Amino acid sequence: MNLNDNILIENFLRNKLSKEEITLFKERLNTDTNFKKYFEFEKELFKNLNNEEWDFTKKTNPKLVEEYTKLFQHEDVKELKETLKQETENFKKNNSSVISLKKIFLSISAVFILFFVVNKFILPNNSPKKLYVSYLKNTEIPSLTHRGNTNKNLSIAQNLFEQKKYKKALSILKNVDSKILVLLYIGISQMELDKFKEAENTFNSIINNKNLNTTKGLWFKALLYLKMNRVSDAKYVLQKINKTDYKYTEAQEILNKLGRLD
Amino acid sequence: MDNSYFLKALLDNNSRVIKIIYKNNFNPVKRFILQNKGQEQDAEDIFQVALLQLAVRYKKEKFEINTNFNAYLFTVCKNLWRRELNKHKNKVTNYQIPELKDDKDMALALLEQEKWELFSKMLSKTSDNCKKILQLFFAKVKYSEMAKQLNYNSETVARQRVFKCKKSLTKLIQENKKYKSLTQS
Repeated sequence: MNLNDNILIENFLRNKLSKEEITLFKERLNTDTNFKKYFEFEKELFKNLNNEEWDFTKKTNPKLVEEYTKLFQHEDVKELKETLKQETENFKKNNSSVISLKKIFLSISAVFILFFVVNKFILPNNSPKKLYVSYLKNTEIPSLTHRGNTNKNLSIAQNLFEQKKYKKALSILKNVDSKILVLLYIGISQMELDKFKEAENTFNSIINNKNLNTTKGLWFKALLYLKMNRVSDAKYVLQKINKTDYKYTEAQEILNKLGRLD
Repeated sequence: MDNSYFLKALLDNNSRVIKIIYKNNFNPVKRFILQNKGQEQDAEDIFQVALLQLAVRYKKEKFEINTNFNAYLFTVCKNLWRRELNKHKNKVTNYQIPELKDDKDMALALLEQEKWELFSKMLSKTSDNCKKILQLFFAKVKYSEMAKQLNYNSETVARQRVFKCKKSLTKLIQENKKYKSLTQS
């Protein structure tokens, strides 16, 4: 056979021929017996020696096929078949009990680790109440009293506030001029006393005051919602705090932590 | 250990030795099959069929394994799996795909394995140069790449070398007694 025919056959086997070429090729196989023989062997060679295909040739000697088929049906081969089935089950059993013990141990450890991580790192810092406590603690509240203006009542109220005697502080502050700062102290006291509706109103009046201090109102209102466990409301308020506003960084921190709770 | 030790044990249905065969060989085979689109059940079937094939072959004639038993068994399993994957490839829809554990199909697989071994053996008997280029050819490497790797001047030279080497391999195979008996009709 010549090189050209060889190339043609190769291209056929590698699916490189066009539709028309394939039709011509198949026609030639029907008419040219030498070409067909050559092609059949090339196919055999190709399918045996490449790593992807398999040669299911029909050229296999039918006598041998029959002989071997009968051998597979022999008594002792049938016994071997049964033994192999049994051994497969035994092997699986012996191996899988080891595997499942390991699996069980691993899953239990995983649960413990998860539990530990969640409790130690995720939950404590991010429960709204805990966030409320830690961020309130770190919020500096300007003093009610300052040089040149020592209002007796204010300093008493301030002391009571710092001692966390909020009820008493409130009773004094309610009778004082409601400047923004005073309102702040009132709101915080109400918040600490769990007088939520009143605290909300107080902070709202700070916010609506259209004064420089209004962003402080947003911050405390957010803290209030955290204490009340109204997480989405807290987030909503925090997002209103702009980049140059009071407590912007802390607001972002809380938003990040709250984000993880969703 | 003498390779025939394991083959004899299979024929004798020696379950102690069969356990050893499983212990040493099943997991690598399973891994191979799982990594090649197979499931655990396929691995179990292939492994059993491979051992049956070896037993029957040894029953018919005391053949010799040239490498070690474990490597040989692994190759038989790989081939059986490759055969299985190809069964489902280009089949017409109303063609009944023979079951892996069907006796006649196992007989065919056995004979195809013998032919594969013969082809591989004849390939290894060609000259070193022919071996190199034919291995590239059967790996479906492009002629241009072949020419580059083997330092030929052009693609045409590579083609001619492949043609020549294939001719000598063909002769080796077609004149082989075993081949003649396997394919005689």
